[in-house]
Amino acid sequence: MSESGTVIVVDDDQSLREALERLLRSVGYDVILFGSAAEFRAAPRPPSPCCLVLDVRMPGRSGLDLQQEMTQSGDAPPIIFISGHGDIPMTVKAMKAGAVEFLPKPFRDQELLDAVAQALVRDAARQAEEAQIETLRARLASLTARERQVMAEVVKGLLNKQVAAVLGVSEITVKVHRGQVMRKMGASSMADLVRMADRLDLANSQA
Amino acid sequence: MADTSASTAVRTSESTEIEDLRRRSWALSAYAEGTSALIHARAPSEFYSSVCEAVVTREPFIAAGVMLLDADLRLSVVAKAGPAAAYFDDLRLSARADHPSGMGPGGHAARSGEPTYMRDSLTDPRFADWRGSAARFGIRSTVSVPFSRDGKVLGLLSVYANLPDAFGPEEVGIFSKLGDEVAFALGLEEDRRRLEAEREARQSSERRYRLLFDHFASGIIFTDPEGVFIDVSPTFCRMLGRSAEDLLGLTADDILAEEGRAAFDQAREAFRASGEPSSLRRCLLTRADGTVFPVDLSVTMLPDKTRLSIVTDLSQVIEAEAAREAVETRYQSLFQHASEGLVVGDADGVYLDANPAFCAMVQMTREEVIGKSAVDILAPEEWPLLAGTRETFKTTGSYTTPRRWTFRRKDGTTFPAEFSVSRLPDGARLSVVRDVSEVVAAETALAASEARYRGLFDQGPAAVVVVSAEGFYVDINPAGCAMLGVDRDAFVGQAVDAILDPDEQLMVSQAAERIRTEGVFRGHWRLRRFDGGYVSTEVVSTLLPDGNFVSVMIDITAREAAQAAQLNSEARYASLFDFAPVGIVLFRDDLFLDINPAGVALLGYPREAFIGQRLSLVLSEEDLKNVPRDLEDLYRTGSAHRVLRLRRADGRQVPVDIVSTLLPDGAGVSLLTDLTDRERAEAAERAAEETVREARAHLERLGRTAALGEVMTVLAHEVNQPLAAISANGEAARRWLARDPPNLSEAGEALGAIRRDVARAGEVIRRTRAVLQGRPSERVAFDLNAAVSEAARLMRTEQRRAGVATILDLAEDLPPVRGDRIQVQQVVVNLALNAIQAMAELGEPPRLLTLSVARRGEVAEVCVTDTGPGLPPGDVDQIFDQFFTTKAEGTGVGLAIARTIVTAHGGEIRAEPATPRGARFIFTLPLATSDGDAA
Repeated sequence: MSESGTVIVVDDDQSLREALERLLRSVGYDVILFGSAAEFRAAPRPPSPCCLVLDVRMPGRSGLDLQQEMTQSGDAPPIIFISGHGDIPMTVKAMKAGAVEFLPKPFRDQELLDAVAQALVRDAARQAEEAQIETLRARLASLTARERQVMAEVVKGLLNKQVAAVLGVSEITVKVHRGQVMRKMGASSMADLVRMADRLDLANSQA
Repeated sequence: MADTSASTAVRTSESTEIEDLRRRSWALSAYAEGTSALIHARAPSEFYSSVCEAVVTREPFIAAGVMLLDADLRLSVVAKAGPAAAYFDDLRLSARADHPSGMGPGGHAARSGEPTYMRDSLTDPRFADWRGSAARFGIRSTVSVPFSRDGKVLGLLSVYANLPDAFGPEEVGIFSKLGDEVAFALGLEEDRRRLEAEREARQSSERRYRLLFDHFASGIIFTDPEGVFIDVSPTFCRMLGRSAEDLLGLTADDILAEEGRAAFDQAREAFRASGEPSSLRRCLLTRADGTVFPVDLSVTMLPDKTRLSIVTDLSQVIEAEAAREAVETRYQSLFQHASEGLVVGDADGVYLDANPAFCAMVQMTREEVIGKSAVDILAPEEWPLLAGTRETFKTTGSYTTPRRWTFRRKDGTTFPAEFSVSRLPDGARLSVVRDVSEVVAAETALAASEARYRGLFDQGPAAVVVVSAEGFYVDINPAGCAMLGVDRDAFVGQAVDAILDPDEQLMVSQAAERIRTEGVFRGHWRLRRFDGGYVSTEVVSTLLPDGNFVSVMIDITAREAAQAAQLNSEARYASLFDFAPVGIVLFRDDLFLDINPAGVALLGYPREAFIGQRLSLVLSEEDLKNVPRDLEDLYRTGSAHRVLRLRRADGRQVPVDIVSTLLPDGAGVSLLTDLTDRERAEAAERAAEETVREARAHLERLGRTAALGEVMTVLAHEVNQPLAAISANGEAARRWLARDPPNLSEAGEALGAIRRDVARAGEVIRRTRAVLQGRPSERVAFDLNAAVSEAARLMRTEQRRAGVATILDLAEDLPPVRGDRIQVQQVVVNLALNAIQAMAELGEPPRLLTLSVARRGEVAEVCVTDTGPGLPPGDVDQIFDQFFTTKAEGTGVGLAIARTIVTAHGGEIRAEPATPRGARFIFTLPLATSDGDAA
């Protein structure tokens, strides 16, 4: 069975790095190797789906530092940590920051392959999610200012009457705007619209 | 009648000649203009007017007109022109010789067909009648020329001049010629119109034939005398599924199916010989797709010797016939095989036919039935009623039985049957007879059964209630009423909950579910009587066919009380019961039957108040949920063990260890042990453990700072790196080899990498050992018993968590040993932890860890024995080469290190199987005295 996706391995130990490449390649993944966090950061990111197999302890920036750095800049691919001496606080820290798996060395190969598969699925899902959110943003952008106001109120669960009172317009107007909003957003139901608003984090962005 | 020539004045001299020439030129000119106008006229309506206008363009002609002669010999003006045209308005002329209107020149001309002229209106006696009006218009002379066709005068052209003598014989001849031209033009026009009409008629006829050709339901073919198709109709093309282009040029031979060709050839021969119209039925043709279909053919020879063939597709006709036959067959078969008796009678009710089912019913042959009528097959008592059915049948055309009739068989026995009669299209009657003896028997049986059950329901000793699917009582029997203390009328319509305890209401849905899945529910219900008391019942519920549930309930209150009493009366148990230091409660299902004094003391309820209560009295809601499962366990295994918090009468929660046993009669007995004190002790123990854990952490920290720990950490990382690489390469090599075809070069590379990493790992181990061996460790004399005891204490948490009991077997009078106390403890702890984990993983009790210390001559011996799964198969000594433990809870010191430490201390380490199962690790340490340097 052949897999697809790119696995980036960052480990300072060359023999382990190459061993991992062989293993991952034998399964069918594309593999890119880096000897340090800095090298990895300097190189362009491969296309999705991809994931990172990261050694915790390396000279220079540690794997955890790199994770934190990427999480802050918001472009972290899913990460699988490997470590020769992972202690519990370190594992907790990595997992809390969103790591897919924390594998102490020596790990069973199947554990790593499972983690990689899981990470790639997660990355693909993230990519799909981003694309969906992008679509929703475009739809949101097509709303008029008034429609957006109506939508913001409606998704709070307000009735047409209440929205009308808040915005100082007639109930009929709200009804019309609401219909427009449903149509433009491509929402099949009120619940659908609320979910969209939720995904767009509308409540916060509008507040 | 005067000769016109007689009135002609003879003139001589030159002036006369000039006059003649002038007159002639006027006439010729009129002729030329008139002829030209005729030629240019577009339609007959224009002929007359254009000729008139052409004539009057020249002096001296002041009026010209055309009059047509009708059947009454009247002359009517149809065209006129010229300055004096109004003269015609009052003119009344005819061709009649017996009337003044026919006396003028026009009348004469029309009558005789000869041109007639008048020289001077003032003098001509024939003109006397018109003289006055002619004078008004300045008319002096006139000529009238008739125009005729086929010898019949059609009309006149009359021309008037303002001069006398404007017309001489020559001029009359010229005008007469103009009249001929008009007649000719008329003739031409008539011919044209006739031709036009003929063409029109021909075209419309052709159109009709074309429509016929294109749309006729039968196909039409024109063939030449050789039989070649020269035209085929669209219908014919459709029949064959071929295009006209495709068919033209073919002959019948090209589309005839093989079968029936001989018949066609024969018919064709006959047709060719006689030339008489001929037809051929059921001739088979082949379609484009190769299928064959039947047609009727007829052929006629046309006058031009082409042949016209009409082809009629019979496939649908034949299909319809086949369908009709099939339907008939079906009905015939229905008639023959119907389970109902069918009998056909004529309008008078005399039977004409009967099916086998009917014959069987009445035990007659078909021949016997035929000719009989209703009276022959009905019991005599039914005869009077026949008139009524006849009446109904006569008015409505059918009769359907409202009742069962008694029929009579040939042997005189009778049977009940239903029957209906209906009229068939041909006036015959069809009777359908259904023998209902079995139905009647079943009904009778049902009634008997109902009566039986009704008796059981009404008089039986068991209480019976019927519950609708919606959860309402719909019936109750007298026994039920008695048991529940309620009237039937008051009970019916109540919700099912009405007689259930709130606790049991929850179980209703479970019971319903059980009935649905297993068909029946058996259980115990404690029901509330309507007078306020309770009654214990054994219940069997099941589903009735009508969707209602029926529950049969037997009052077991008395039996339970008796059982409880019996239990109590057992003297030897009674004393145990009364004086046991543990609480004892008896219960059945979830109902308490009894409690002993210790139980009363434990729970704080008086015995009387406790008996008859439910488990919910003392259990928390959370624990109540588990009760059904626990009871199930109890019933299945006969015993159960739980630690629960029970609610005392004063509301306090008390921790109780509960051991329950199932008694032979189905009741349960629970022994309750108060754990309040024990819990307090355990809390203290936990606090102590905390202290120990701190001590152990301290030891670990100590171990690390004491270089060994540091080394271990480095070792772990150093070794793990190549190990991880070896593992990954190994898996990669396996996968490359497993490919089809295997990728040997990739696999080879991976294997090469493995060899390098193995070497690297070995190097790390060697280096570490060298560090350990060369390390100057403490060598002091210490008490091995105390060190092992302390190590055991350090592991208490792990032991307890894994449910392991530890036996410490120390040596008495053991001299001190020499060495590094912490390292030795590390070895003990490591071996013990391995043992604990091995037993925890195996999961089978007993889990026993034995730590023993003994003196063996000049050495002290420490044994760590477990009851785990034992040593792995193979060379036992090899396990010490597994230099690392992956176990998360290990201290990081593997067997290899343990061996290194022991060896460094001058001792030995080995492993052996324990009996009856498990493993034993034994290591020795030299006694301090053996070297004589104990001081």
